[in-house]
Amino acid sequence: MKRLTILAAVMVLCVGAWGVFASGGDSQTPSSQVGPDGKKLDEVGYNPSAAAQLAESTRIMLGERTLKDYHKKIHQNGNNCQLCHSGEAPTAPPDDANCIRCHGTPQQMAKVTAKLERNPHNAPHYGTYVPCTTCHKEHQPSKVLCADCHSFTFENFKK
Amino acid sequence: MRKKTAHSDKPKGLHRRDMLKAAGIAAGSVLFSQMTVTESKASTLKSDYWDREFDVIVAGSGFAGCAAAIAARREGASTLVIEKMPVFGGNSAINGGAMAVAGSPLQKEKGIEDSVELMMADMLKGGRGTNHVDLLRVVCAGTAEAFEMTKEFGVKWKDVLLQFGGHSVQRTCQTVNFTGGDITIPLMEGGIKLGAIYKNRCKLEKILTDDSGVITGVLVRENYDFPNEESGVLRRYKINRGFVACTGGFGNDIPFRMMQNPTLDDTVGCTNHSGATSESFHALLAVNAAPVNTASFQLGPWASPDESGFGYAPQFNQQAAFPYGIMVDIRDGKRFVNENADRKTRADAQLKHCKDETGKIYYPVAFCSEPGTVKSPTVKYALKEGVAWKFDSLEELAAHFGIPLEPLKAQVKRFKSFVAKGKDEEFGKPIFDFDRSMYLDKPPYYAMRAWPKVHFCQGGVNINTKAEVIHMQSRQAIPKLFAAGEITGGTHGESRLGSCAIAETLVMGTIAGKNAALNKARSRKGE
Ligand SMILES: Cc1cc2nc3c(=O)[nH]c(=O)nc-3n(C[C@H](O)[C@H](O)[C@H](O)COP(=O)(O)OP(=O)(O)OC[C@H]3O[C@@H](n4cnc5c(N)ncnc54)[C@H](O)[C@@H]3O)c2cc1C
Repeated sequence: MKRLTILAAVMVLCVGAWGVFASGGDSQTPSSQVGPDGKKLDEVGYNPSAAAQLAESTRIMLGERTLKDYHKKIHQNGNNCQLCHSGEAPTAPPDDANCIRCHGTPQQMAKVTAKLERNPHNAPHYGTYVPCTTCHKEHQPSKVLCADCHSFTFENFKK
Repeated sequence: MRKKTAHSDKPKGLHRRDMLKAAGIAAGSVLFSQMTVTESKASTLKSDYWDREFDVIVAGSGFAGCAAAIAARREGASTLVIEKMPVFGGNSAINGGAMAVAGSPLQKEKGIEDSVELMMADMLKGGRGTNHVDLLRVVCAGTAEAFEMTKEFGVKWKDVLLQFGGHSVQRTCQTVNFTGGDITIPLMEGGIKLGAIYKNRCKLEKILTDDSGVITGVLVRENYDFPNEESGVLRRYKINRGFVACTGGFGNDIPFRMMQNPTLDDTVGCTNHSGATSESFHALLAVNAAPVNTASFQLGPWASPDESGFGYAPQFNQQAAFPYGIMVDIRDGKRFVNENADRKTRADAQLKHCKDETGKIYYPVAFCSEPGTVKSPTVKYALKEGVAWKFDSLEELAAHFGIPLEPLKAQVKRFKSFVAKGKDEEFGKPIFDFDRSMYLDKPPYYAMRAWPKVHFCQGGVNINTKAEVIHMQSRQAIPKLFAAGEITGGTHGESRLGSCAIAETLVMGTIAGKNAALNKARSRKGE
């Protein structure tokens, strides 16, 4: 689980598998509460033959999934579902924690795109709280959330 | 291994199935991860098994939900906010950030006289007298306090007051970035800081009751991938004190919309976020919540056919072209309505005047002079996106939209004379002396096309002034069930005045969250 320093001092907002909550202050949720998803994956490592089995059973369950060229190398051509989906049967969008490992935190991404006239990673409507997979999709065409209401486009956005 | 959840203020720690998942990864076992799915489905069949437990669960993370979560935490209740979309904030996050406040510090500073009674009178007139007056009074009386609450959590307001259609004085405050996100983000962070948990992609499926009909919890779909109803897994969350429905309107639910009013089909645009659908309303009806005004959809007369959703036009039209300029029928160059009337009057007029017998639409054009755009700085984006146009003469404007020039010139001249007299003799639009320099005068002109889109649901469930949901048969409050915001009906009658929804959602959300949290004694007794 990734900790994001948003509020000053001891207060830390945690964006984890089990919602967004505060840690350090008067929190109801100790961090051990959060499910083992993203974090545990690091600890257990990657087992190619088990992964291939999981990928195969997913294909049987859900049918063939389309893949993006630019990710093919890292998820071994779709054979390493766990890379993004952790231990879940990959029926749900992956946790941001798994994107963050390669791409940086939402705050870091917001800095990368800060020079754009509209910063998609720090929009006035949502700040830095938009889950990556809201716009960036692996198994279907990607579409920016902004486009629901606005006609501006982002040149470097990979469809 | 299953057991009843112990009474506890804290949600439980790791669950068996979470451990199974971890084991599944460790062993790389396909079997295990499939078991995870099967088991969680099975758990929903058992009425004594709970995946999580909270004192208060709030559904929806817009203004009402954010306010409810803060209020519930302040009363010491363990509080969870569930949101079905990947993003938090619903319609609130994309809203225009304009809030009507009766008796704001800014009004006092500017010497504008206002009162709770005057705001109520304006809203009653807009609502055609069908407003639930008891709710209306609570909302109007609570606006000043709700406004202070937003400031306490760091919401930043501009130093201007606006006058939206149907309001008799300038009473609308505006956030700095012209969006409700200016409010939802700090309120959500504030609620989390107080200890609330916000969980996205978690959809309310059903309100659960025991054999005697008393609410015990909710059935939710975790990891929901809107709008895929097969996605995610079902879970049962136990509720000790109260469930607060803050699930917003259903303006974007086209089949449901058409069931209420067949003319609102998919050719009619909508300003709402895509998740503004009706399933939570159905869940409330299923536990006998009384419906109010379900067919009352508000159309926003200031939207543009040249962009999707809300976009930039509403801000320009509401804060520039409508108050300070004019809107004309492109076929005769003439005005046809008070551009600052309430929304229903304007939208009805557009639909009536700007269509021919065959149903062909002639989108009316609204425009003003440059000084009139001062309160609408985002017009620069609208120009860039091809939603607004700038013209150096009336000739250019008329040619662009195909408006007959001479009648248009005559109309502009008439309007200028009304401004000089301080009285709109055609349609009675208010003309303010202190804003004189902003009215339609010289070129350059800024113009947009204006056409109604579905914007707001006046209808919803019936609540009382404590935000308790009313049972449709007994007409008594349904124990442990609260609602606030756009999912409720009544406050606005048949037509809401602009900027009164932020007021309503924050005031009623706070009341709902607080009363749900204070519901401890009664719910314990009921157990
Ligand atoms: C574009 C736009 C601009 C507006 N501008 C203004 C303005 O300037 N001033 C003003 O006063 N009013 C304005 N309004 C109206 C106002 O914004 C809304 O009425 C208000 O935001 C409603 O707040 P809410 O908290 O009731 O609902 P919402 O903010 O819509 O929040 C409801 C939330 O509940 C979630 N939800 C729904 N069903 C479920 C479910 N089954 N399970 C879990 N979650 C669920 C939704 O996804 C949503 O996030 C505007 C509306 C729109 C659409």
